[in-house]
Amino acid sequence: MKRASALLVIAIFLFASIYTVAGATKKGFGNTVFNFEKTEKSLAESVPFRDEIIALMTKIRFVSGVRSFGDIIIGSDGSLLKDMEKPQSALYKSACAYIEEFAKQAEPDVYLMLVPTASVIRQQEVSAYTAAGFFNQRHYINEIYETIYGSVRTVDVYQALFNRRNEYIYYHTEDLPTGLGGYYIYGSIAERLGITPKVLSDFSVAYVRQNFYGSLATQIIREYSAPDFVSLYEESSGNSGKTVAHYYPDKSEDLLDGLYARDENFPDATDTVFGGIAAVTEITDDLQEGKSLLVFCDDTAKSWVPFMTGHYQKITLVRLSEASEEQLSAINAESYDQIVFAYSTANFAEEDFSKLIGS
Amino acid sequence: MQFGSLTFLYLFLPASLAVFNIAPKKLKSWALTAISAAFVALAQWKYFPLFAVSIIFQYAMSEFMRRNDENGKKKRFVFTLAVTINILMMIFFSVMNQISGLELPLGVMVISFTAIGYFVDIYKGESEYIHSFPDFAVFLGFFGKLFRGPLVRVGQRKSGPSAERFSLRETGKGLYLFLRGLAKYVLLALPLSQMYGDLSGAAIREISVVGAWMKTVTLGMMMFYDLSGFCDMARGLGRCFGIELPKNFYFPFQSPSVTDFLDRFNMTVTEFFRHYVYDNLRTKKDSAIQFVVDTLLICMLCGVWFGVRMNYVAWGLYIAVFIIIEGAFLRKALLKIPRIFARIYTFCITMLSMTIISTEERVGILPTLKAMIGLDTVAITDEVSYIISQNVLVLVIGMFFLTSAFSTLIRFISKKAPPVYNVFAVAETAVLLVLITGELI
Repeated sequence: MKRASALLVIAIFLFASIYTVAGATKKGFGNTVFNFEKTEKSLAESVPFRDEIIALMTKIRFVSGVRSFGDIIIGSDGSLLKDMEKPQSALYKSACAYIEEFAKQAEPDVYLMLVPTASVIRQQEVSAYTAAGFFNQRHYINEIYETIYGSVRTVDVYQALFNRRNEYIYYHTEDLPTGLGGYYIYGSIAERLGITPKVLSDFSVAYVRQNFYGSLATQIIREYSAPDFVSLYEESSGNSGKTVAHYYPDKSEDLLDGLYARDENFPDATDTVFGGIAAVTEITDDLQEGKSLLVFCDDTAKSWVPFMTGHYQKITLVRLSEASEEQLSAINAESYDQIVFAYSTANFAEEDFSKLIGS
Repeated sequence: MQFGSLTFLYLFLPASLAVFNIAPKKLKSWALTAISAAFVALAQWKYFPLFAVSIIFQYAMSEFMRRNDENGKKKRFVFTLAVTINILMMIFFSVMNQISGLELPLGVMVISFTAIGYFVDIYKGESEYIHSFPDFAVFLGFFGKLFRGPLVRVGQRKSGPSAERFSLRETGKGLYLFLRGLAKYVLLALPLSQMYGDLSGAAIREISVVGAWMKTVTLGMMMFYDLSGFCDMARGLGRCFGIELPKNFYFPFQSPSVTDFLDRFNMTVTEFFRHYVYDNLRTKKDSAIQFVVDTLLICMLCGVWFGVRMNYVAWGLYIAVFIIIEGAFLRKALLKIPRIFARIYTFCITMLSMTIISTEERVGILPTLKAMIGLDTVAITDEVSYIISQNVLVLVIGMFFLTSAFSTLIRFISKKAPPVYNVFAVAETAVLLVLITGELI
């Protein structure tokens, strides 16, 4: 190797070193030098052309056949599947116990609906070996339903979704059911609640936020994933008297005319539905007199609750994790005709149901 | 801190080079001693006192022997004491590592073997004493070679780091070599290690023909890229700091015989045992029995270098058996057949040896061997095909670099078109730095 080449090698190495350390120093690197992991992280965030290097490495891996990136697996149709972690049995058993306790005290009928995540429903998009390694959500749902059998009515949506697995029932880049997926969920829960579900042709559909990428599509793998759109379903013969009120723990509130915030550009595109779900969200239909429904839920409610609004005068959505004690105690469960607990299987065990008893 | 970390690559190494460059010529050995000590302290703080005490103790023994060079009794006593302590230290840590999973102190094998060789050489008067403490500390504990060697005998050591060899050109060459070694480790050995772990897990659930073969080949490649990667890093770092370290691997998996394989695989270790065991113990020259005994002993010791485990001893014996067979008659036959067949024979024999290393006590070697020839098993499982599909690139590149094709091409270019080679070397440095950084982020 000639002297000039040797000097160029040193120059390349020094450039990368100085650039990295200088970048890390700007970010307060000095405080981390005695902690190896923090130092490593700090340097990793400061290497020159970091994003380009990550994109290059991802491309190399993708081209060579790798489909698993961290905990995300890229499906053959570009959907991003995330396996749910096996929940601790103590957690979901205590969740069941709190719901049972609540159901004993509540006058209205109480229902539990667990919605499986895309990884088990859309497993045809990954290799048989990968799919075999996914957490068995069917078994998990059955176990929970058996635990609470007798005190809470259960809603099985697994089969309904699985039968439609080739349709656009889950977002590609967000682990949530789409509007269409929500319709199939609605079909299952409506029957359990004693109402007749409407046929799909009774609804008009509008497509918004076309080509959005959800939270699963991190910068690294966005290029290899299929974009999404949000489908908004409304009864063709529906009235325009529906409003959505959001109540926040800090006592602030806002009101949305109609079910959808079509013109808002929320960071989470699925928040177009209801303008998102606040700690307490109340959907009312001024022009309709009828029953009321209380739903303790997570984001999966954005998919199926719009279809329910044609059957209830008032639907109250409660996020237990966000609602304050004051908000919870203000909710009079006895005033509702029916109560539903509706969660994704991935979130159920993590929810803080102990708040139910306190309120 | 490991070589395969951004902290080492972008912080410790440039800082060390800066310190070493700034240090006056007379103090370069001291500077490198301090750098090595700092590396050990950052890499394995809990064993730093052991490292420091060990180096000081060995130096004290060396000085004691030097001062009593004329006094045979005292010299023999100190020599025996030093060698015994080094052997006991290796045995203690290896056994404890096997029994209780005790972490091995960084460089314990390299330092102890190097020290034993040194004490034997100076005891026999075959080499000069290293009188200067920093030169002695660098000879034993230079941080670049602590992980996997290479083993250096005192007779091979040209001089300390204060020698004239140090220059910016050598630093550039050293960085180039270091990055090549780091690339072998980070881009090949680590993914292969992950793949080997996955294949081992798959084999426990259901063994298959392809799974058994892939597991064996993956382990062979992983060991090669791990060992040769670290040795290239050591040689590269040596050059950066003005120290010349010997080559340790020369495309062992394309050797035309198993005998040749041992001469190309972990060369400095084989050479070390040949020098200190074979040459010192052999009595009757050209005796067949002596050849068998010596071969068995050398090969077993080469196995023990990887760790005091029955698998490694058995691996050494397996290699020895083929060397003995080759010595008896096979080598002549191998020389007569086309070289490609001799290479295929060696590749298969040496790769098969990996089944011995990978064998777990509770399972035994039989299920793997049966699976490899297709007895009582399926051709391939879903799990194995998935693992292969996720590692195609690393397997193809890994297999390619087991051969000397790339190296031959580079040598050809460097002879026929030096400017092209120089441009290529710079471009290769940049590409490797990008890929290594990408893996470490």
